[in-house]
Amino acid sequence: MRLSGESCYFAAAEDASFFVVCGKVKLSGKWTETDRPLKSRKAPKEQQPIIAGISQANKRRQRLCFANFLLLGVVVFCLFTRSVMPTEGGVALNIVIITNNPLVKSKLEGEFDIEFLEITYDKLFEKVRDYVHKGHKLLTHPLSGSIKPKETPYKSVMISKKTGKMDNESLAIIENCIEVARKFPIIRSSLPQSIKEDFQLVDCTLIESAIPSATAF
Amino acid sequence: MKLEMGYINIQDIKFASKSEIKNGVLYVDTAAVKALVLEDENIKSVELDIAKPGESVRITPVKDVIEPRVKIEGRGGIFPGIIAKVDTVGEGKTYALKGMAVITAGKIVGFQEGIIDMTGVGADYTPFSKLNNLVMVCEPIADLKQHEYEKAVRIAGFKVATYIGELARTLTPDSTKVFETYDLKTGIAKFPELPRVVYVQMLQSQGLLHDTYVYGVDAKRTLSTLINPTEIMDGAIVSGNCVSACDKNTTYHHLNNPVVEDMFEQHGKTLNFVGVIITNENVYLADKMRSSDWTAKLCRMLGVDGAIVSQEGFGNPDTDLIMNCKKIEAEGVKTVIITDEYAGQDGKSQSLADADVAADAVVTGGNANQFIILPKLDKVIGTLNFVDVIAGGHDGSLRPDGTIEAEIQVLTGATNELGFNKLSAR
Repeated sequence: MRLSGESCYFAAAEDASFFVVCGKVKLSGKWTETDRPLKSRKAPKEQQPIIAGISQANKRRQRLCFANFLLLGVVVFCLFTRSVMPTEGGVALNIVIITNNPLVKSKLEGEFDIEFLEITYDKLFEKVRDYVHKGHKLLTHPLSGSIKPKETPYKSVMISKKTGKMDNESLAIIENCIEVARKFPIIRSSLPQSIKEDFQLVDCTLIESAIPSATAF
Repeated sequence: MKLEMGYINIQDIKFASKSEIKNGVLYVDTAAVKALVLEDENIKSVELDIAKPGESVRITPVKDVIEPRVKIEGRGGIFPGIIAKVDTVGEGKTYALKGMAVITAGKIVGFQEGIIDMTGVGADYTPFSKLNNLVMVCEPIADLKQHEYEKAVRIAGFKVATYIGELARTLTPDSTKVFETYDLKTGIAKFPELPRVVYVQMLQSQGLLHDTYVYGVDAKRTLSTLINPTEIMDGAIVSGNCVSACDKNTTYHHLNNPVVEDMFEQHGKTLNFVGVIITNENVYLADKMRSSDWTAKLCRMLGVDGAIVSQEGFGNPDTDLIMNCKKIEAEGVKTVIITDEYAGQDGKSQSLADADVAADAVVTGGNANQFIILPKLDKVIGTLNFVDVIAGGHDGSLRPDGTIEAEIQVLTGATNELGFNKLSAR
């Protein structure tokens, strides 16, 4: 049986002989209206055994209830896993955000694993490279979009929490970013608080824009 | 799709008690425009001003520049999905007011908005110094978040541009031009000998304050897709981008995309302009992979011979640019990229943050790090408070004598990556 859309969430119920859900399901290659019970595919009607004391209608109703219950359980489980999994205590398990941005720390801590470091832009890139050497993968591009390195003091980079063999692509990207950052001088000795906050906000929105993709599966 | 553009030349803008266009002069009823802007509760006040070419005027911090247009015939209206209802645009007849623009200004993020000088050396670097500009300086209500402020100013600009565009509805254009593309089958039959070329337009889509909208949809939530070039002329793509004045595409740039216009110019002569692929520039690496894969796949499905790819912004979008170039070339499609450079003030550093041997045909919009001294001008529309912190400026950019030393990154449109400027290299 193949279901369209989020079919994977229903895979556990594939052995059930029929489904009843709101809307439509695709059953054995055909779209079927689901506001009526679907016939069993296991055997033709005339071959089904007659069980004493239970009419065919009652039997169908029992199956219907069981399937509904099973399906409801699967849907609830899947919605739960989709919204918060993989997590531990509400924290996404697969992602670590390396940041020197206090706004990212205050806004996303608790939801994501945050490593907050009070270090410079350059040092943060080097820290990320250390993690890549240890087998973490880069998940976001370390350079900002349309903001020069070191023009902003703040930087957040998302890496995988899981380690594996060192990812050469991640290493090439972070090495290149370190090179790019080196060529830009620090152009301001200090910034007004309001501008610091603007830089923090923009860095935070950059990393937040990656979250829907990073947590989609 | 066939779109007839009617051009109405505006030679001057004046404030008056009634909004109208007469003999090439735009008269603006300030009370009516202010009332329109103040419909949004997030805008506390708005000041209107006029800046004309050659005047000793500096406009800063500039957010967006918009050319007023009005849909005369055909489906939909200008800025579909935002001002007009969602409907496919790009066919029929549209009028554009040439020689003028609506400019929105306001401190949204202190370090990112740009400068437009109407005279002096700075005026040479920004195309908007040649226009009669109606400038709106919008102040937000207290404690409004930056992204809400950005949205309010963005929408206000579109509303005012649409209001002014409507004034041209009953006028007769000074000149007209027809833009027409064909479906794949007709195009191949009509121009069998010509190379089939697609334009790949990359859209800034990095998050709040860095966004571009297509029919009202945030581009970062889209897959690479096809759009007809005439749809862009009707405002299907608009800017919500507040980052890096010199190489962000304002809405004016989108409406007057020179790559689109130049390709139309050659359409049927030296090439067959197949259409436009729009693709985003996201932060997440897997998104970059997916979008560039999709772009290359569309090129293959269209069976094109050549592609022109334009970038928006710099930094991590350099990686999107190179991914697009590499993958499209790998499909056997000759690819040219348009970008700008951050090669240091001496121009000796590597220009892009990424590179590949496949990027062997590059057009540059100039070096954004190029150093410039802007003269003191008599009048400022907006405020100079942010000149020291604006992107391209530095500590002490605003000098005691009122001159400004900075990189040309501070000037709106100076190194535009659609080629809407005069800088390049050979």
